Amino acid sequence: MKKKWLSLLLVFAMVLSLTACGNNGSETAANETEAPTNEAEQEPAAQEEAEAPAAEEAAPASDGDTIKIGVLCYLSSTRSATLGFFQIGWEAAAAEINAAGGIDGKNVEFLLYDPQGDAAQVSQRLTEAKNDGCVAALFTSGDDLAPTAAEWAEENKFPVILQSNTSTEVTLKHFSEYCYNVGPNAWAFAKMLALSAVGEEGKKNFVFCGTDGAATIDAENLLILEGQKLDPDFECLASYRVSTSDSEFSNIISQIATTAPDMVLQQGGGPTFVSFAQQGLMFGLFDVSDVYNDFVVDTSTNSGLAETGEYPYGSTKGMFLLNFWDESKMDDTIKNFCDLYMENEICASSGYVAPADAGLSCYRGVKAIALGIQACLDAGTDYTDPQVLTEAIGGISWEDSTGEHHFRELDNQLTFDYYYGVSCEEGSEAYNGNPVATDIITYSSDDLLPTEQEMKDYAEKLGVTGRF
Amino acid sequence: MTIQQFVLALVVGLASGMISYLTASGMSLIISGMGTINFGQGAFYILGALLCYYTVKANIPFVLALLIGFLVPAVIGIVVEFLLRPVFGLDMTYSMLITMGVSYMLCDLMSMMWGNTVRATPVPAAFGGAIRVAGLNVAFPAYYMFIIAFSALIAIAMRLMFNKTKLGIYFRAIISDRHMVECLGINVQRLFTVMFMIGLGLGGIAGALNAPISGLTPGQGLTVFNSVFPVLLVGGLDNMDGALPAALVIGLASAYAAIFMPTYYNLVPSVIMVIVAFFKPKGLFARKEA
Repeated sequence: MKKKWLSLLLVFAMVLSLTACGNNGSETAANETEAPTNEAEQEPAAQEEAEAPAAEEAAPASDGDTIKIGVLCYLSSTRSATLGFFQIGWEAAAAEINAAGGIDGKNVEFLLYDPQGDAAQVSQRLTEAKNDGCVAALFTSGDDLAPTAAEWAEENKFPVILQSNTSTEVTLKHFSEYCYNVGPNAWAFAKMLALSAVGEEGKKNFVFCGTDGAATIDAENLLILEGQKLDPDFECLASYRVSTSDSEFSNIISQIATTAPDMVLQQGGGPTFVSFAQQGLMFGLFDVSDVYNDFVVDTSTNSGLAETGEYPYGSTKGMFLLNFWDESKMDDTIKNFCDLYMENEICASSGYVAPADAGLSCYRGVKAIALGIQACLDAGTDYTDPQVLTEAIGGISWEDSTGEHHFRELDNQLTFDYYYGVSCEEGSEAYNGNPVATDIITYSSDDLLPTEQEMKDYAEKLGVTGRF
Repeated sequence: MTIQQFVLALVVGLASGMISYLTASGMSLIISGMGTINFGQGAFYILGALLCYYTVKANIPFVLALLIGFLVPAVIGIVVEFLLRPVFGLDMTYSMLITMGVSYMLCDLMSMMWGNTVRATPVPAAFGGAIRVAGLNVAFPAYYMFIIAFSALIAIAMRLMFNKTKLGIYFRAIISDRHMVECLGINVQRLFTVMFMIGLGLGGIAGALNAPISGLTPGQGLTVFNSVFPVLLVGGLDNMDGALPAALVIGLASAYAAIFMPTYYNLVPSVIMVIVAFFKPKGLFARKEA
C-alpha cells in the first residue's frame, strides 16, 4: 500500500515537472512592468495554468486596455539559449511605443507561445494567439518552421510577421499575402557573398556546413546561382548537414580542413557555431579557409566564444545588420533602440554586451505592426480586423540610419541595408571580446534582393507553379 | 580518400566513439544491474560539461574539473536511485518515465541557475596545439588524443574494477543473479546506489571531456540520449562489454561516412542501429546465452 502511494506521488511529481517544462500555453509579457528574465524563470509555474485548452485559458492581464501581439518563440529546447536576444528586441519596440503614449491610448502587450520545434504545434500556437485576441503574430521560431507559419497565415487570413531569415520556401512555395518578412533575406545574403567573396575576393569554390533549414538550403543553392553569374567556374565542393541539436562536427570539420576550400559557408548560430568554431580552431580550419556566415558580429552567437579568447578574428566574414559599435553611423531612432536594448533587465542579468541582429529584426517586426495599426487609426478603419490590418501593414514605411524600410509587394520582404564585413579584434574589448567588423561594405535592398524576373526564373527552376 | 583524410577520420572517430562509450557504459551498467534505462543520462552529461566550464573559469585545473564532472552527478545519483526504489521490479516503463522526468527537471534547474546562453570552454593549455605525424603531412589536435587516452584509462579502470575487486564481483553477481546475492545477505540496495553513482558519474565525465570542443546549453541534455542510443542497441542494452566496441564502430563509421557521403553521414549511426536490431536484436556484441 505504501509502495503504491509512493509510486503515485512520484508519478504526480513527474507529471508536474513535465507540465512545467513543456510549454504548451501562453505567457504574458507586460512590457513595461515585468523583467523578462524573471518571466522566463516564472514560465514553468505559469505553464500549469496555461496547460488547459486555449479557449478556456484567456491570456492574463488582458483587460481590453492593451493591444496584444502574439509572439512564437523558443521557451524550451536548445534554441531557447538565444531567446533573450530576441525578446529584448520586441520589448524595445514596445517600450518605445508605450513611452510615446501607446497606440490608440493603449499599451502594447505580448503573449508568448512555444511551438517546441514542432510544425504541428506552430499552427496550434498561432491559432491560440488569434483566439486570445492578438491583432497579429510575430514569428521568431526559425526559418525551418517559417513555411508552416506562412501556410497558416494564408489559411486563416491573419497577419504574421516572420523574423527568421527569409527563404524561397516562404516567398515562392508558400507565399502568403498575410505573411510579412522582417528578417534578412537568404537571397540577399547569397548575393552579397557572391558580390564580395566571388566578385571582389576571387573565391573559386566553397564547402557548405550548416543546419537543415529553408534559408540555409537557400543560401547554399543561391550562392551557387549568384556566384556562377560572376564566375561560371565557381562551384560547391561538398555540402555537410548537421542537426541543430548536434555539437560534434569533428568528422566533417577535419574533412573540410583537409579539403581546404577557398571559403566555407557556415550556417547555424548559437551552440552550432560555437562547436563549429571550437573544433575548427583545433583542426586549423581557419588557417586554410575563410568562413562566411550571416552573424559576423552578432552577439547572440559570438559572445560565448569571444569570452574564451578563442574567437577567430579576421577569419570570419559575412553579413550583419547593425554597426552597434559605431554611434557615428546611428541616427536617434537606432541610438534609442540600442539604449533601450542595453537598459533591458535581461541584458544586465544575462551579461549581454551589445544589441543582436535578431533583436533588431524583432524590433522592426513590432514596429511594422504598430505602424500598421496607426495607419488604420488614421484612416478610421478597424485594426482588429485581420484583413484590414494586413493591408495596412503592407503600406507602411519608415526611414532610419539602417535604411529605408517598406514591404516589397513582390515578396512582402522588408527593405533595409545589409552590411558586409570582416570580423575584427580591434574595438572588441569594449564588448567583452565580441568581434566588431572592419572593411565594411553597405548594400541596399535594391542591390541585393531578387528582381521579379529572377524570382520567376528560380521558381521555374524549382518547378514551382502558380506563384507568378 | 587521401592518407591525411584517413588518419584524421581515424582520430576523430576514435575520440567521438570514446565519448559515446563513456556515456553509454554508464547507462549499460545501470541497465545490466538494475534493469532500468536511465533516460536522464543526457542531463547528467550536460551537468558534467557545465560544471567543467565553471570550474575551468574559476581557474581550477582541468583534471580537477573532470573529477568534479564525475563526482557531482554521482552524488545526485544517490537521490535518483532513491526515487527509483519504489518501482524496482515493476514494469520498466515506470523507471523510464521517472528518469525522463528527472532529466527535464535537471535541465530546467540548470537553465534557472545558469541561464541559456551558449558557453565555450577553453581547451586546456597542456593539451592545446596539434600533433604532427612525420612523413604523412597530417596534424590532428592534441586534445583529441587526450580524450582517447583518458577514456581508455577509464575503460581499463572499469575492467579492473569489475574483474579484480570485491565490488566488481558483487556487480557481476547482481547482473547474473540478483536474487541469489540477496539470499547471501549482501546489501543489494547499497550496491544499486553505488551502481547508479558510477553510471551517472560516467555520463558526467563524458560531458566534461567534451566541453572544450562543444558549445554548451542546458537544453542539450534532452537530446544527448539520441546520439547514445545507437551505441546501446548495437552493443546490447544490458551488455557492458559491448559498449566499447559498439561505440568505436559507430564513431569510426560516422567519421568515414563524412568522407564519402557528407550530406547524409548523420544517418549512419541510425542505419547501423536499425540493421543490427533487425538481424541481432540483442546487440552485435551480446553475450551468447548458455
